[in-house]
Amino acid sequence: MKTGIKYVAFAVAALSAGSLGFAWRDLQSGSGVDSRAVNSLLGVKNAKAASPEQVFQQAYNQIRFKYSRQVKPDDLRFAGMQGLLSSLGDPHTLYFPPRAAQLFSEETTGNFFGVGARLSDDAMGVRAAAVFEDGPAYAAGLRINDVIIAVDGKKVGGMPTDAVVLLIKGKEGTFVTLTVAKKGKQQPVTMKIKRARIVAPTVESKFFEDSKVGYIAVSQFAEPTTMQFDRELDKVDRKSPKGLVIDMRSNPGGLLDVAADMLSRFVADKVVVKMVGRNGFNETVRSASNEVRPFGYPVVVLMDENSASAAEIFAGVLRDYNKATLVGTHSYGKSSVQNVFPLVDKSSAKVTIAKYYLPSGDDIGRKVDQDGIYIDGGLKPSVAVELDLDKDPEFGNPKSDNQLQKAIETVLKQARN
Amino acid sequence: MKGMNRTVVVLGGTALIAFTAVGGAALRDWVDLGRRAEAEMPNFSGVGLVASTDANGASYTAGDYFYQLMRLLKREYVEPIPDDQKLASGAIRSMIGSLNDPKAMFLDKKQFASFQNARAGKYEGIGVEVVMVMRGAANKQAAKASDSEGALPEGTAEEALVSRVRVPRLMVSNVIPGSPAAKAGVKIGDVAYEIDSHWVVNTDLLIKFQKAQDDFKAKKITYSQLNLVRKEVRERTERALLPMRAMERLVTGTSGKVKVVWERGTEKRTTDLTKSVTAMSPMTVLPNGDLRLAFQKGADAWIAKELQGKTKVRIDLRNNTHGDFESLKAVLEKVAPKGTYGQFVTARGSEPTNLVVAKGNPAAPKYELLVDSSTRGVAEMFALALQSKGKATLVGSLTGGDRTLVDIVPLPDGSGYVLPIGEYQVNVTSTKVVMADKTEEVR
Repeated sequence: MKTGIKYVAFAVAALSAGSLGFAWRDLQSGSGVDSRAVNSLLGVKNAKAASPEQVFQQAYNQIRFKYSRQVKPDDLRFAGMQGLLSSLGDPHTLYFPPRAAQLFSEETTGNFFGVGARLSDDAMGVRAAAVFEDGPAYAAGLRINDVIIAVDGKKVGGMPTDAVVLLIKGKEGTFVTLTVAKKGKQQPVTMKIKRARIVAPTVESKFFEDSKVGYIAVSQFAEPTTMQFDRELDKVDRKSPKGLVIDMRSNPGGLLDVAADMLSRFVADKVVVKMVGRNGFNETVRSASNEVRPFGYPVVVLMDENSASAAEIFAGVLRDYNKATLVGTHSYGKSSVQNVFPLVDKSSAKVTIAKYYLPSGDDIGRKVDQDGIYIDGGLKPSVAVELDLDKDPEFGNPKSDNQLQKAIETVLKQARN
Repeated sequence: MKGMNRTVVVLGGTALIAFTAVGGAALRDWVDLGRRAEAEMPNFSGVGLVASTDANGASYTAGDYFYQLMRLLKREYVEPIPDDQKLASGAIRSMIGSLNDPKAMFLDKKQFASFQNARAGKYEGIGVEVVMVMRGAANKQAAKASDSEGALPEGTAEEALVSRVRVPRLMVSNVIPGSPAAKAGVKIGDVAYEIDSHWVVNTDLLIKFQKAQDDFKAKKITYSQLNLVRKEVRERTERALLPMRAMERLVTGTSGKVKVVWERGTEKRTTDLTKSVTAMSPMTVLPNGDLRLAFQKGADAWIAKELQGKTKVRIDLRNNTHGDFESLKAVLEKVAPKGTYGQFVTARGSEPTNLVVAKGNPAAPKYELLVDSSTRGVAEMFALALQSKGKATLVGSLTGGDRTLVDIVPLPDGSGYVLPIGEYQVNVTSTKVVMADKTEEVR
């Protein structure tokens, strides 16, 4: 009798172990047992309606072999995978075919070396629209509005700016020689500049003397941004401003921790953002407890549809704790976290795995239709104003930038109250 | 001794259990990998698609690839995925879109339902049918027929621009008699320009904008002139409808109003229309004795019955745009003597397929076929086939110029797609259509 039980127990244990072995692949990857594999083992044919992969395969074959023109099988499959991911209606869940996947990883790990200047079109060559103070070009004497007329002796007049940029960029530590025309100088100057890794400033500030309003533009959230933000805030504070405009327009986001650090200047030990994922994944980011600065003046955050991710969290948190008024247009609506999964054929899938929620609990996620057209989402401004493109606006110049004008007007109105 | 025995049994048992587990895993390998030839499972290893043992990744089917990516999504995506079939439809939609062919269309559930209704003679919306027409090279062939929007001259800057951005225009190909559109004077060839104050996206504006940009760079126009164009683009695109969405507004729904601005040549016409259902019996004997024929299931038996004892038959092929190929073949068996009636060609490089009537009807009557530009697709092929053998006279005006054979494929979630699979060609030196007062020769 006892032996019988033992045998049964043994049989059960063996069977369980066998099944566990069979299903190990699925359990390891965190999913249930793959019914397709079980069916395949037991020889069960799926009697129900065609499975999605069968439906897909049929259509794929139909197009590949019956369509009246030839199609490249890989292109067709890539299109299919793109459609599979975009059918979720989430603009951030994307498929990258092998070539695009490679470009994407180059872009995100990006190693570009230059001289530390931003260039724009000019009839004679290219004009230095900005020269970064920490960069090698500045050290060599290049200044804003100088015109580069030759690169390594090659004349660049009439060349597109992009092409000139390619000439100037190169391997770190190598040299490039620029021939530069400076205003008020008869002879062009030649500068030999060593290419280096360039860290573009992410925060720039201005003070508008006529309105006594400070202006800080944050272009992204990178490692040095908090330090730069503090520095620019100090600069503005020394002018005793009536108000401050923080410009988040065209800021695509960046590091969440940096945004949280910057928010610590406004609110102490408060929830900045909640992240919620599948299977109970839950994480809350809080601001630091003792880094608040006394803002003796009202603050306005300027945003547009290109303000995304960390920029929206920054703006949304200030709104939720009544620390700032939002001016501009609705923001992009990026409220999710993605992970990139490399796939077998060197393509990859970027998949949304978690969502952000603002302290107020708002989900600002962007909704699009199947054609990718915006339906809803993003932060809504308290004072809505569209950028007037007919004025040939230059961001940060109150004369042509009507959104900035509105922001200044708003912050001054609050300063009076 | 007994204790020793026990230990052996326990150890042996444990080993066996462990062995079974390994065996289970091996069995799974066999199922997933070993039987690939039969089950065609890809060589994906443990963590879904993440790792690979297959360097080139070329030995598994697209379906397996789809399956693995679907599983990845179900495991990792932030929200649960309620409907797997929607994933398949999304993938198919995108494959069809990648063909960049105005005749290849993916129709969602609602669109496909009204498409099927139209084939059965129940026209929703405003009672028109529309086709996508591409400007430029792709349309050159069609331009010879009435789909013409004027093909662009080859090698022009404009053509180069068009090839960069290809968005088809939405053109009326059929107006159902008695429909709201017919009553409002909508005509075949009208192009939907604006629907309910939404601009219907087409390439023209984009061309205009790119040209303005190029002109500005070349200093031919001023900044404020460029801005005027930019402003127009902005205003239009803020309320824009892509062609498939625009089409949906015209051909789906049975109630409600829709305001459409049509382009007819350089003229713009505005119509206020109320949607309804316009019925047009697909297969019937008309009061004047003419036959209206629809190329669908049962058409062959019906026409065979109607032909009995007649020597001359008039068939009205107007407003006839949809039909299936199987039905065309079956009908031809009943109405035409045996023979080869032209062929289907593809751009795949495959051999043309002949349109063959195997047994046929040796006692076929003479036919007069009423045609106009709403005679398209299978109906047009039917007319040309009979005419090529001198079996029929075409009366009316030129046919629509759509000789593309399509497959219409329904999908499990109610959506479906239309895929061109060949072009009909027939050996005739001229296409004669007898007009009311003259004979027009076309080639």
